[in-house]
Amino acid sequence: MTDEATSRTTRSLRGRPRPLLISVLACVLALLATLAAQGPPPHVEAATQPPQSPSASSSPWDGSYFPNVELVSHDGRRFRFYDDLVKDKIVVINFLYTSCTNICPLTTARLAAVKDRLGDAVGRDIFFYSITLDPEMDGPELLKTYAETYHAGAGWLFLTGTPADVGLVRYKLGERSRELAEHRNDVMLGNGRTGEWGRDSAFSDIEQLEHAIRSMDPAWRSAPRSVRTTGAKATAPIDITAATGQGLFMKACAACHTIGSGDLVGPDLAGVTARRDGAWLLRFVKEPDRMRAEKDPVVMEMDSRYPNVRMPNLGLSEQDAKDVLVYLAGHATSSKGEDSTPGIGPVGGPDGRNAQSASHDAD
Amino acid sequence: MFIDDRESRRRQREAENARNNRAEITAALSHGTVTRRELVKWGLLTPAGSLAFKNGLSPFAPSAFAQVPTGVPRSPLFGTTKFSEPMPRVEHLKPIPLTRNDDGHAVFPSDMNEPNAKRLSYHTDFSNWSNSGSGSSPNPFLNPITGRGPMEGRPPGEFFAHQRWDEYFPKVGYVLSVGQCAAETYFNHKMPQQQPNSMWTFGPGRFARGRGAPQLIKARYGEPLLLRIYNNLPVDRTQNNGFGRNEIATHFHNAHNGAESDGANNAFHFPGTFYDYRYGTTLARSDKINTLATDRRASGPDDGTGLVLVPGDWRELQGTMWFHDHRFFFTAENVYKGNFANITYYSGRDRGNEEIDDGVNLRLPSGRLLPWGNVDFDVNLNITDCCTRSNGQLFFDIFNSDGTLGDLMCVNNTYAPFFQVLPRKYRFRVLNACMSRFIKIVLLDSSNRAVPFQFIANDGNLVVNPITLTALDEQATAERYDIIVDFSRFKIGSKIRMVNLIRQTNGRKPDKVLSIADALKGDSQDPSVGPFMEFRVVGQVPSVDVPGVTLRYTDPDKSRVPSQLTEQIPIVTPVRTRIVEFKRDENNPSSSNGGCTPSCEDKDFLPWVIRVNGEATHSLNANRISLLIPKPGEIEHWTYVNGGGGWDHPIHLHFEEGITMNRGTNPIPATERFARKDVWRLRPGGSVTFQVQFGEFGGSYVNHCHNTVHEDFGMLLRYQVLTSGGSPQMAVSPTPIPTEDGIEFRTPEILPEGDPRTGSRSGTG
Repeated sequence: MTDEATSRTTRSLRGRPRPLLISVLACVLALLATLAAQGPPPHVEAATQPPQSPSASSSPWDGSYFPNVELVSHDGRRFRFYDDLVKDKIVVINFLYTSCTNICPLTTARLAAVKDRLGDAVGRDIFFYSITLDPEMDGPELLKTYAETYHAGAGWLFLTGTPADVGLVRYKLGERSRELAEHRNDVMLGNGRTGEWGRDSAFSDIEQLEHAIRSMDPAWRSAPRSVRTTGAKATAPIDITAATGQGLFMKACAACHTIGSGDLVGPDLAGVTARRDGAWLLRFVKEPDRMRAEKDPVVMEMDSRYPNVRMPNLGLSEQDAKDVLVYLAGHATSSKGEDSTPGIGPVGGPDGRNAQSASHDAD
Repeated sequence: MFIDDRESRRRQREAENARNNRAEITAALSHGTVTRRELVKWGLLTPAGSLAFKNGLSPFAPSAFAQVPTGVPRSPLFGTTKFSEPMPRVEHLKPIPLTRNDDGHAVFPSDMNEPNAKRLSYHTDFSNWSNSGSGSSPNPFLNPITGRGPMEGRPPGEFFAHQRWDEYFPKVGYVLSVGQCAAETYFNHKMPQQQPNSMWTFGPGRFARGRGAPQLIKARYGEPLLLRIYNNLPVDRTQNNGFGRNEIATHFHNAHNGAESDGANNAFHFPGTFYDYRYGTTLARSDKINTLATDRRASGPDDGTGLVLVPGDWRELQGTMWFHDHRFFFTAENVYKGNFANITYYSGRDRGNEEIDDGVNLRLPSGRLLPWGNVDFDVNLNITDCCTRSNGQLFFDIFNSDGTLGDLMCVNNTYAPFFQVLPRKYRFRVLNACMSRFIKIVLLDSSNRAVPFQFIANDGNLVVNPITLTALDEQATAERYDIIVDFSRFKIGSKIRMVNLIRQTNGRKPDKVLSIADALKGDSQDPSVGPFMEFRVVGQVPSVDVPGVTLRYTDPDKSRVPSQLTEQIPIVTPVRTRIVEFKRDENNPSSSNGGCTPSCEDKDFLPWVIRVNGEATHSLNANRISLLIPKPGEIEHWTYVNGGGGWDHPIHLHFEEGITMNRGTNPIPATERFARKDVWRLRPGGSVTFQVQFGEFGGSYVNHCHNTVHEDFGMLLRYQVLTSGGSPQMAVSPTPIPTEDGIEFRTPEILPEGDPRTGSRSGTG
């Protein structure tokens, strides 16, 4: 096979492989030669590109890319998008609209859970922005109510603006849906200092999202940390016969509800299967928006008690909804303090641990 | 989408502005030199402001200023023309012999200084060292470059140990590095060299850097191999020239491997680390069919003219394959940046020698100088489309969620090359390695007449009978078509061009198939239409297989294209059926205008909704198992449905191929009918049904849209294959969460409707 081994060099102009050092040297020389031969770049970049910090030099995603239009926050302050909100900051950005009945509320609730995990870093190093896709409807007042509902707190701005400005920002951030309802539910992560941008999902593991956000900071990346799960423990088999509703509850419900740990965004669900009629509950889990539209009296009453938040339609099928209710019924008599049971605590609990990690530890 | 080169300099400049998004649209708007009312008037913004997807806001959107679509400037050609550069052949990677030591490790030659390859990841050793309280002395299994985390990226523990290690113990090894491209990497010699961080490619060896031409591994059945991939990318992930993530995971598309070596279960790894992938060259159904390895057709070539018999179903032998990055959320950026390579599986049937006449060998065009794996007349063509900034450096718009299109059609990463051929039969292994572009290929002679050729394999699987065509079917990203072209009818000096007939101006789907005449005229908005490669018939060429040997047109062509290449695997009654549908969720009442105004008119878009056996609707993430394969060997029928309206999606199923049964009520091309495939174009509103079964290995795999831009935006779902016999994969795998300091694990969520064992959700079985 030695003949084959030497056959790697091909009939291209690329020539034979060279020792690395010579190649690097040749590269540098060739690059210099290329630059010298070309003279000043013939294109417009040089004339219009603002000065860049050295660390941002390799990224085109800087102030020359992002618009500097004015946005208004839920507390009425005005910001220029790039200069005030992005430049030199680590940002977490999602899109929503307050009348959204599907995924937006859940995304917001999941982001709230992540924000809790990030603690003091939010507002100091990391900034959350939720930008409305419906700027004509969502003025600062509505966004303020929305922010309060989700206990957004410091470091999280809900932003609106003129339709043109908001349209420009969302386009630039890759939110290019052609209809409001088509909008993306992923989360943009950016570092305005380094010009790094990436995506993540609010529906992936909360700790993973937390890690991805913190990793936007080069200083944080360069600081070693110990990892928790190692070796044999990691290979413990997973019991997939656990209640089928548990995964659904964690994914779809736990961002807003606890079972026995008190109200979060929505009401505590301890004992809910005993409190409510089964058929009513099943329908409500499946299609709360339609029941609300029909002015179902119980829904109306709940809306008056939780005026700023509406249970979203989560797209659960009949069987999904039944599974969730079976899971809830299984915890109907749970006492408070039974927090160690997997999946029933809030996603981001006061002790900084989430339900999923609790579930993992229980394996 | 691209503007014509003949446009005025002013317009070129203006469009370059748009590309760089120094577009006056941005500046002017913020400086007040254009009013928003004007933008609305131009159709850039609707009065509601919710739509702003049109011109000038993106490098890939038509211009903001001229009311007509003028687009972005073409990638500059720096004075070069098509067919001015020879096509580089893929670079054959030399196999390294491995030996087995007493510990059951695979040992590299000592002068290579490579750590032994082991069943368990070095991460296991790293973790055990940390846990054993040896904290004061340095961990010997540390990442040597960063000093953080384990030296191997493969997750620790039994779940990510190589399955069936002893049975498929690696006999040969390969070492590749993913890193900055080498000097002299260019798309054409007149174009600027790519800067080291413009392209990140595979280099052959521990610290080697690659150039543009992809690497090729020649594997053969019966010779399991180990591929060690080092991540040599910059530790500072911001040094990426605007796109690409320095974290990698390598997916071997679509070989029959354990999930730990499939490369698509979220186990990406960091600069300074390696990942050992063990490719068993396992023939599918080796636990079920021909288990005693007595069928000579189920075999690989030995070092001479003989065969190494292997267990399994010879009808599932594979050939043309590739591997590429699969880092979730960054796949498109990384593959576009150069992270892909070819791998060919050679078998006794298709051994890459056209003269050995043993009753098994098909003698397909390849060559004769080597006992197997000849490539003198068996040529990989990796087709990509890319684009550059005005300085000639590779460019990718990370904010474009529709898909990425380029205006430079490249073959083996060379812009519109030529390739010299002898007047005889050639086999071409055509891979669409674009991110989002669909292509449709014809070969034209000097009179622009279509040259007939024979289609012999789809996605690396031989079809039963060769199919004579004058045009290939549409080819989506990741699809591989093997064709035989007979140049013997051409005189020396003839030129035959390879032409793309599909016009595509956004990433969602192709616009249309053009006539040959229209394609030859060129398309002002899609420069990738038209000729992109030229074959030149010559009298002699140097051998690639044995350098120094000259191959001449007078040498007899003893290759054959038999009328039957394999046997059909029958379609049978399935154990269960599954439907995977991606679409907006029609079961959601809020989409039905059912009297819940006003808010219910709006519906959210779940890009990837799965329904199994009539159940409904979830969006996905890497930690979510959508489909559970409860035990090996059960034959299932799957239907992929594109309910998403106007988009097209090529869907890729990892690990196993499906036998394409039908496209619902739509016609199915001859190249697909009952063909084994691993990527299916669903077509807008279309569906495809195939027969599939799983076996030999288990773990967590995925199926996803192979428009990698779509994939990165969530069109990906995970499925879990459970094994039957004593291995950890009898249970569901934990999800690895890689960090610079090591892997953490999460418990996956299992969608109840994905599990056929749960009550009402069980299938027809």
